[in-house]
Amino acid sequence: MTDRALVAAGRAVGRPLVGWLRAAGALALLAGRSATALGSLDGRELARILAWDGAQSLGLVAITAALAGALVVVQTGFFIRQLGVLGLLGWGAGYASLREVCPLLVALVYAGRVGAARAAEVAALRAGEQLPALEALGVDSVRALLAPRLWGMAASVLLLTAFGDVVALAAAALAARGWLGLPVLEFWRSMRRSLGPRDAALGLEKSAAFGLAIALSALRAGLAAPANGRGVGQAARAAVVHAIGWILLLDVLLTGGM
Amino acid sequence: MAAAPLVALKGAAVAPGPAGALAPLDLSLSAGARLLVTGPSGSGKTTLLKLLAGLRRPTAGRIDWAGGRAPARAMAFERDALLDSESLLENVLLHLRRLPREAALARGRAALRSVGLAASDEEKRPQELSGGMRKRAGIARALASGAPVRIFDEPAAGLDPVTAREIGALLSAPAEGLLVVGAADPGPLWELVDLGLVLEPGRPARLGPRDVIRARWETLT
Amino acid sequence: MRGRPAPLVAFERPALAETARQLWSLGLGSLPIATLALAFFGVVLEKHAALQAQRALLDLDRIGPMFMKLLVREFAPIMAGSVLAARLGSATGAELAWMDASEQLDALSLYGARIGREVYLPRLLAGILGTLLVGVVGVLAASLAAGGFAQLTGTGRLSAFVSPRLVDGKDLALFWAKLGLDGASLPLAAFLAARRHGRGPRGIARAASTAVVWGVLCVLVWDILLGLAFA
Repeated sequence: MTDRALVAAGRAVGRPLVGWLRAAGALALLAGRSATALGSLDGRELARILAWDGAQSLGLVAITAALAGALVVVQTGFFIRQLGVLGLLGWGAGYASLREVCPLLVALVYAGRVGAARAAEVAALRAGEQLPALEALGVDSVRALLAPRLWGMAASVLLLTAFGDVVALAAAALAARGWLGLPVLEFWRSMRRSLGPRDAALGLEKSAAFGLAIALSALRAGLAAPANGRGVGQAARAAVVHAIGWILLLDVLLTGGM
Repeated sequence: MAAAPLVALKGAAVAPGPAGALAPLDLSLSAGARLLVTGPSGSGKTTLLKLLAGLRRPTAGRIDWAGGRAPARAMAFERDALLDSESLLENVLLHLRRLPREAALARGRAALRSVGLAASDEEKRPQELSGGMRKRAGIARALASGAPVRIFDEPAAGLDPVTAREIGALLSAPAEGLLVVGAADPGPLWELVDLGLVLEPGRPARLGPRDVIRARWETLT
Repeated sequence: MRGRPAPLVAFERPALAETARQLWSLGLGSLPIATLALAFFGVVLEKHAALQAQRALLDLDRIGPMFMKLLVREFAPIMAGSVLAARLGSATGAELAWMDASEQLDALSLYGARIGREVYLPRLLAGILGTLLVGVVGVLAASLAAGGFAQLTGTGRLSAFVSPRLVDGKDLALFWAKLGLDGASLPLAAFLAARRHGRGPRGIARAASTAVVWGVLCVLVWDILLGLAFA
């Protein structure tokens, strides 16, 4: 009896652990192979993917970043008004946008839109036997298909976050003007006084890591899903959920390292 | 004069959309008719079947049932449409909700047996079964309902010829009802019916006795 | 009570039972990742606060209770909303799109189920209840994690971070309103996304990702509007 209970307990702990280790190993392998493919990347495929992913999400990122900028002002504005330190608003809003809110939200919507779509695409390629067909023809599918997608996604998250930073700060300045009556120039000065390029750089450093996490989660989800119609939906879902888990974990690690 | 038709479509059409499309169609069927609807994919077969099942409304024209009220209808769907969250037996019991429990159980089990599904399969979930078994369960669900109007969408698609023939033999409807079968590649299903209807995009639909329509369809394809 | 409709089939169960099932799979299923997210976020916030406190020579123990207030008013709802937009939105969007594409919704309505009451309503209710649950657990997780981290790194005391001293009725009203609206919007966004992109495997994937994106936007918009309304 106790033996059986022990075995059951071992299984309950061991199975998820093995699954997790396996996923981590597969991720590392994919990352490694993509990294070695970086030197001989198909430039045109990469540019195509960057343009497509970027264009797909540019509008969405603009809306999200504008909302985020306004949100930061609304959230900090309450306290700033209570404490009567309007002069700190530019610093507070800028700090929060650049270091935390923008990288996080851009990554989140990007994972939802592009990450999920890319995972579904890879799963559909497998369901349609196109990936196995490529391998059978001796084409390295990592180099031809996966690596351009991976680096394209990672790069576009970074670029979109930089773009989002600008939009968010502009939106924050406008919201501060409209809601709290703080002149735009005043907001700008408060920001300049206490924030530097370092704050933007730290935010972008995060978003580079988030981008890689989104790309790896998406490709991994696409490759791991069952190769049939249901698997495509599953891949999209898994890509989003895993990407968000990684984003949050990385956020803690990177903020801790600041 | 022939008896009033059980159902009459007068210029019934469905505008193209996510729910399918159907070009305006006139069709009247009397009680006991057994009809096979064929045509290439995208010609509106499924849309017509769903119109008859009451799952779609015509966006133009009308569909009239004798007495102004449609009889009970059952349909087996192209993609089996078994609910993933329920066991096979519960899926079949789906439209026996109004019966007392024991009667429903007996009828559901009998229907599953009649399509060749074993008692050991009853508690399985659809995703644990093969495509052929799911298809059988979908058909059992329609048969168990006892509804006089029975509609089968692509009952044999994606099955091997032996299974397809076996499944074809299971399709039936009461004499006062209606049997409608939709299939792009009817094969042995022709034997079940006495009327044929060909739908083709951009061309008028053709309705006629089975052998006439069958001969024409088979020379076409 | 023979002769009454059999209580055997899943669909005969009242919508309440289906709600419980959805709550179990979506609400509780999202709890681990949402709790983890908010705990991580608590640590991140504490780290930022400590960095800034150092700069402005503020006493972090005085920030502690303010932290709880901020968490209740702002951070917990938006973090819970965003994580659920991803987890619940993608799951519900994909599930309904799949049910539509595989004709399960047709089968249900043909056999007399009321789709609105038996499919949509339970998911809506589960979304609201699940979001409220995640929000409450999230506040606890974030404040404990932040306080624990502060205690460990010697920048503050745990008790200061878990103190609800500064949280007033208005903060709580904002908390419940945001979470409630988020919880209602996420399933609705998923329903719309599924309706819009129903067919085929790609349609299912698109429905899942559209549900996430619309969900995140809903969460942001509610947050701003309610923040303005309660200011």
